[in-house]
Amino acid sequence: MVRFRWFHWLVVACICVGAMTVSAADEWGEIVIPDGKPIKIGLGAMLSGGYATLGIDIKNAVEMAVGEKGQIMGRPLELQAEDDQCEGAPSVAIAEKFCNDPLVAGVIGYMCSGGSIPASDIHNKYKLVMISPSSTSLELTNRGIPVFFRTCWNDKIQGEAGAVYALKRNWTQVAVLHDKSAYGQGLADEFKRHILGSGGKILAYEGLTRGDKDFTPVLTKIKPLSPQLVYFGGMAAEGALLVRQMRRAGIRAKFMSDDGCYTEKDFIQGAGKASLGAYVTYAKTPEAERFSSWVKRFEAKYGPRQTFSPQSYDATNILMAAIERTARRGEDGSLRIGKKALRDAVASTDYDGVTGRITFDEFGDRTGSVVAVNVVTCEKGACFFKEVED
Amino acid sequence: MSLSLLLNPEVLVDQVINGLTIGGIYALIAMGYTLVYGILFMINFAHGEIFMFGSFTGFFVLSALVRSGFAERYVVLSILITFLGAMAVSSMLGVLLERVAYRPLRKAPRLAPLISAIGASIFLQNVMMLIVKARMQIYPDVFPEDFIEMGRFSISYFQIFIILGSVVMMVGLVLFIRKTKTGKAMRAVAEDKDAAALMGVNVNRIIVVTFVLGSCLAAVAGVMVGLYYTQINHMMGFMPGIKAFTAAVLGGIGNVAGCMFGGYILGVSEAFSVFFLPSQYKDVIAFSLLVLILIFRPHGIFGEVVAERT
Amino acid sequence: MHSDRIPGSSTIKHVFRTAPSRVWPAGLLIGLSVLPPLVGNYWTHVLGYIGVYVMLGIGLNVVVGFAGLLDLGYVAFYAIGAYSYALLASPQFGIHIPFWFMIPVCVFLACLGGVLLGVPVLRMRGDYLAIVTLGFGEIIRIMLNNLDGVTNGPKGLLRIDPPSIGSFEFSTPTHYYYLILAGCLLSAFIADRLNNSRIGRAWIAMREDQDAAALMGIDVLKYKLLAFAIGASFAGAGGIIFAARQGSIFPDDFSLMVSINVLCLIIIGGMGSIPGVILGAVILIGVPEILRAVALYRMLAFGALLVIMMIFRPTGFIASSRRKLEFNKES
Repeated sequence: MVRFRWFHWLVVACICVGAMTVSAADEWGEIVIPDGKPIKIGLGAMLSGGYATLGIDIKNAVEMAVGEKGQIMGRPLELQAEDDQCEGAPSVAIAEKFCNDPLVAGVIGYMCSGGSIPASDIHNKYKLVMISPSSTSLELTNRGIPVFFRTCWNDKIQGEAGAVYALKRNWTQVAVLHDKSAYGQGLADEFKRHILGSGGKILAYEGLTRGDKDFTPVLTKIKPLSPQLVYFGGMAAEGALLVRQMRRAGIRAKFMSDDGCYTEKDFIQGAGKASLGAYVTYAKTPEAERFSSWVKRFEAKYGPRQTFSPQSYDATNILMAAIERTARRGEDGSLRIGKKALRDAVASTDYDGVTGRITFDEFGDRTGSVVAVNVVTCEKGACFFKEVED
Repeated sequence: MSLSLLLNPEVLVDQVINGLTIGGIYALIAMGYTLVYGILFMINFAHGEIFMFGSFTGFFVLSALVRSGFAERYVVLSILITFLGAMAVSSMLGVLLERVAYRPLRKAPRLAPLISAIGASIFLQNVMMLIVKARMQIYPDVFPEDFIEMGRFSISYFQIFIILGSVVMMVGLVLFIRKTKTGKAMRAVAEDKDAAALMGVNVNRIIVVTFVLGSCLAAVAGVMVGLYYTQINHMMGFMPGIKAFTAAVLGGIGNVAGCMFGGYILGVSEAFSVFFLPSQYKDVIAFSLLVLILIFRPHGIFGEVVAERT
Repeated sequence: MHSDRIPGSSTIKHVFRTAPSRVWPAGLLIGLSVLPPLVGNYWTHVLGYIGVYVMLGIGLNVVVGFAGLLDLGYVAFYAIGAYSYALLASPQFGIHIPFWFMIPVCVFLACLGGVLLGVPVLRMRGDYLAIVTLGFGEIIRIMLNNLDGVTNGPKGLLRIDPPSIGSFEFSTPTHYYYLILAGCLLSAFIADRLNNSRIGRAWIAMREDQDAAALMGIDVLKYKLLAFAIGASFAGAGGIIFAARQGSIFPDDFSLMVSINVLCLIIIGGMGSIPGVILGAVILIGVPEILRAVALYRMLAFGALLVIMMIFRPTGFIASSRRKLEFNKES
């Protein structure tokens, strides 16, 4: 090993101190896109693994929106999609990546609440706007992060919608399961709160391990309690297995779950016959013709739509519109986007999207979301989600 | 409240059946570990991936049969073809694995084949990931979902199939090892490789046979898991692999009959654990059993104490 | 010589006379120090990420490379370091112990973990040891994921305090880069000292032939335990730095994959050699960041490389000379 003289260390120390003081501390600052470079839109979603159906669906919708817009002020728009694995750790790593990438103007993300919550701290540090199309956890708007927005509903509304319907149908003896994620457990808690608050009974409250396949032990534990309804907070991979194993175990209770199970491929096909009659909550389908014509256009290009493509499409358009409103040309030919101005432009959005009219409240939540209960119905050999009548 | 549930006889029986079902799967996979360890004294870390490949092969075969309409008319035959196809591919994979990753390292220091096995395991997981683009697949629904209700107890056809099937396969294997000439040769090689060679046994061929047998059983387990749980993904071999290894160690590694018991004991322990711990702690049971057994009774319940080799 | 008569010049003359073996590591060090402003925030961030893996690699190298023990649960010590800091320096319990004070605490706790794990398992054979340590690592991860009351479970610990000196708070990738660089240098220095000490020689003897070493009077169990504990300490240091830098940690940050990644980089880079570890980290962690298209095939390549390296070049790309002797002797 080399022996270092004292002045080696002095030189090194000087450089270190110098570099640290020179490197800019983070204020809101500006995004500077040099001449000839594209404007990047970042995307964080699960692109491989258990819930990839959802993530790829989101990616397709964002891609469609970016492709349709094409360019802003002569600069091409480029989508950079990263795989956030629906988890905290990768989402944080991707957030650091995007926030330190000088060409990224904003991010559509992240897919899962468990990823969005910690990633929002990173985004807040660097003041880079993020709009999530699918993270519904209540916590996201509780934390006072000014750069976070979402075009989906939140779980307070969703859990309540599920509980209200259950109580209306007189299902007061309920067993609650969740997948121990920020999203699933959060929803299960909301649902439970509402049921208890209205005098219902929670017969069991258990967590599952995500990725596990065998839920027969916990179902055997629940069966003798004779629940009228089994509520599951979580995603379709586990939901499909659960409802299938429930029926096999002879549990005749109704099954209700959340938007995580609102996928035709993973849940309805995945659970097969057992999915018939299952209840799933999701945003109320907008009446407007704009929605159905968009769905036709989307499905012609990408195949059957899954849960969050409409919200993703709207989110991307909102972000791009805000960029267009705030971008200015610099003297050196670069494009400059003030971070605070961009954030304010998004916050003041009043946009007619395919999912309806979109405005944000002071917490970044979408105002006026309505969640409806759907039931899996089979007609003429095809099975799909149908909204229940009020 | 949970403990009083335990006293409910139908819950007890149901839970035992649950345990035996998953235990049967563990036992089938564990056979592969114990056979290979008995002969080569190495842990075939990639065995879980052989199980996974068997499951996926079964998926591709069965899906093709369903698409062509064959499966609708000949259900039993289709399922049989699925099993055979899976066994064929898994065996070939096992043989390839032995030839490429383990045989060159037979004389190497002990850590080398283990590291090679880890590498092979990672490689195979990622090959499948690239083949299916990391998406999970869903087995077609061909098996009847019904269950038999006898008074207050119920057991599904599936569970009967898996429990009986695993017992039959394992008894078959034990008989093979005890009664046939090849089986005898296998026991000779396990006892003393060089002496067996001197007696005229083709050691390499026996090793290949061992891998084939273990892989076939893993493939059977893979197809069973596919038919029963329907969801399969490229990482599905990891956890069951470790749990099966735990089962093998529990029963006494190298002891084929002990393996079976190890699997059932593990399965039933996991099933009953939900009465004492929240069900998200299920995996801790297997890992804790593994650690405890290896520390306090490394030769397992039925194994003999072998001299410590470093 | 004329320069002898010029006062104060002897030091400078000495340095240049003994170049290049003295100059190029110094040059490398200076080069590393000036990187951040040159390469920008994003790459500084990536370099920091590589640096943490270098520290982990150096630590696992002590266990696997020096002492010959295959620890597949190494990530558990990393987790102990990270979670110890996060629990005591975040809003979780409202406790905010300063980073600099926590460094020795985390190192000590990880070391303690190493001892506690080592005592029961070190009598085992190589492959059993590997599986048991793997089991331990997974138990730790599952417990971290399920003990919601303490660790916040899968939601993780967020808003972890950054290190601060007076009123200056670490915030940019550059700040952490220098912290990590210092950590790497310190780790490399300590590992090098160990390698050339009595302890290091005992490890070599143990690794080559355990029974012969015992006959020579080496308390094999004690040295194995030392290796475990010291290796764990490095991971503890890496853990606290990781937690502070990332600002949030989750149980899934500490999966088996981390242990395997670190194992891969020391095997492929070169077991037992510190430059090998650094090369391993740069290739295996850095390259996929640079070539995003390659990242999909990264683990595939790792797996294949492990097998290939074991068969053809078990000492790794940059082997230490001692390891070369060992492996060649055995084949």
